[in-house]
Amino acid sequence: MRTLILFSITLLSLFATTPIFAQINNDTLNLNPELGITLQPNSPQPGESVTASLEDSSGSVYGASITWIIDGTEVPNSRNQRQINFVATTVGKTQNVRAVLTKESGYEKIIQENIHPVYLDIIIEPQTRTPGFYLGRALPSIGSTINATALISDTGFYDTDLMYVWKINNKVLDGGAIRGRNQVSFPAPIGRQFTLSVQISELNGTIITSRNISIPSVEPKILFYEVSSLFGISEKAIAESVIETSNNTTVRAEPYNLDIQVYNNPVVHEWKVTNGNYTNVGNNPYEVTVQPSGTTGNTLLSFHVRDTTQFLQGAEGNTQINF
Amino acid sequence: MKRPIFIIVGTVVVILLLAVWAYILFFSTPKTDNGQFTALNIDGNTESVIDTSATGTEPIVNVISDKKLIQLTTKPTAGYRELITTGSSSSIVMYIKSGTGNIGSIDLTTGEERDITTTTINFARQGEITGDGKFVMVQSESGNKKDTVVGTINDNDHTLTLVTIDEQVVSFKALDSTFLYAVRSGSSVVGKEYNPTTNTSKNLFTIPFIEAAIVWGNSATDVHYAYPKASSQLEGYAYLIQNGKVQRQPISGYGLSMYGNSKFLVYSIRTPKIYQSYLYDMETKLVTPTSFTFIPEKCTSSKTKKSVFICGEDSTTYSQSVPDTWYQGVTAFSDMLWELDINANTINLLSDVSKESGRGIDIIDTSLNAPENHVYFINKNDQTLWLYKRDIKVGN
Repeated sequence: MRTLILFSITLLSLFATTPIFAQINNDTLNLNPELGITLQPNSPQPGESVTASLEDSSGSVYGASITWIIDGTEVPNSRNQRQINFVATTVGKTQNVRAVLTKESGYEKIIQENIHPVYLDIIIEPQTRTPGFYLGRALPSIGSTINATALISDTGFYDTDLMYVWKINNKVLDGGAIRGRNQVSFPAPIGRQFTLSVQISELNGTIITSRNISIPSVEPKILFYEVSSLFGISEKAIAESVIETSNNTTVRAEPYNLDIQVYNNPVVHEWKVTNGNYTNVGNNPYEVTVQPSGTTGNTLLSFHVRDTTQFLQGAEGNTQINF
Repeated sequence: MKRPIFIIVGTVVVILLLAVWAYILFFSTPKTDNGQFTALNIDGNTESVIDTSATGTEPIVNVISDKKLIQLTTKPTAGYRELITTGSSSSIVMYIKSGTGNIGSIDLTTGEERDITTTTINFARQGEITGDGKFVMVQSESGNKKDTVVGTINDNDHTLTLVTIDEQVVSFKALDSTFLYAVRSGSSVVGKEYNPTTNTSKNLFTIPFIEAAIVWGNSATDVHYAYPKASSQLEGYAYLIQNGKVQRQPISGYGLSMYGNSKFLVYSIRTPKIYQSYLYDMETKLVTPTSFTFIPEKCTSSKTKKSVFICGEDSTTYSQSVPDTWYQGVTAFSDMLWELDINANTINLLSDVSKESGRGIDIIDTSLNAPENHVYFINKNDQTLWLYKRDIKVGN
């Protein structure tokens, strides 16, 4: 019995020390996480430049030659390189990236990764103010609500019934992964910009893709526009802060990128002419009509809007009027 | 005069002067005058008034001039369309007047101007006219509210029969006898086709986000494009829409805006250093950067030769805050009108419209008529309508 035990221990020791070179597939590779291919970015989009690196923390490929093969074709000038660059395949296709490691003894080891590039678009829809004629998208300002939508697609959009983990500045939203949560709303954090990231997985936990983006957070700013009683608001901002008029002129202050809730219910909203406050504002707190008194001159028209609970949600601006 | 009397009189005068000075100093009320500033009366109420002066005061447009560049309207124009008049070889331009929604026409042969309708649509800002000249879709904006109506033109009494679209319309385009339009629906935008004859609409596609800009095709079944509204500080992505399916295209970037047809796209994005324009071939998937820069919203393309695009372009250096500042009306351009043929790899200056007109023309809403010998556009600076007579090359 003692001999049998010693023989078994010896045999096990031999297995443990024998080099693992053999034809193995990706499944075998998974059993040996010390050896593998890492991709940068790890979830490439179609047509994106990708760097594949051979990771071998065990040093088991020492002395082996390396051949890189993509979709059955050897990558030129890649022999014995630990890292290659290539372009991710087009949408809807799967790309096989393979590293063949050959020892002098002739043993081969193949490690491989299959890439199925997908687009992951994160669409940012800040809930801040822009005028109706503005063709662009509003920008977030500190404290304003942002809606973000993650759209994963190849030849068409994926079903949204997946697991989503959203993070802002590396802090997980809503406590962790949430099923079907491809849209989130959150307030813009303090700072000039922040990072929003999302990781999307199958329901079984297999990661499909992930991405992080940098989002700016701007200060709201006021631009002034003339308002015609016939045509409505002009699409041309009052140029170089000067407006010249000999008639009654209605001016609207447009606080770009102000939180829409603050815009709709401004705590502070005041117009000033030179240094005097004007409280005689009509139904629209963002509009005033100025009327020349008959003499020529100029005056400084200024507007201030602000929320007192979030003091960074506000803006001040002025324009000069010549009569 | 004796010396004591002289002293007494002098003292009294001095005392009087001192009294006047003291009175002015302490008791006088200054005049109601803000120094160098003019007194202002401020009132937040804006009343709607109808521009009665508009009728009959438009100058006669000299369309029979041999000039290639012609200004068609002198007042803001919300929309326009060139039509072939029934039983005649001449064509007219119908246009919707901003502010009133009144519709007028100009005969391009005789220059005769007519009022087609006098029904008022207050604060009309944007409009489209169907190719048969029978219907209009007009969006008006008052305060923060946008309303959209469809009007049937009644030739007999110069009126419009209006039907309100009870949805939040974000984009629309007229076809020959129907309208393509898109509305907000929850967290999506739904594209539809509306038939004003039957007053029915059918859904065409759904875009899974709200802030969508749409580049409409020439029919409901044609290729359309959508992208998140451009911002120089936010990333945008291009989506192709066909047969109800929305498919991502390999185009993205900060400040992305685009224009195109089923074969080619022109788009511009903000690169780390500059605002850059590109051409994209849908068939070969090849992207070509251009040496000139344009804002795609200034472009139109030929229906008969899809590689031909006509764009407004200012030779200035575009700042990295474009297109935001252009949308805001802070930046304006003095454009030239260019024609580029992507297949032939050629670009031709059609007209330095700003120089020829002697004023800054910031081109928007560009379009070609059916024979493609007329290029129409609106000057963003004053919303006036312009026509450029284009030579059609053999084989075009």
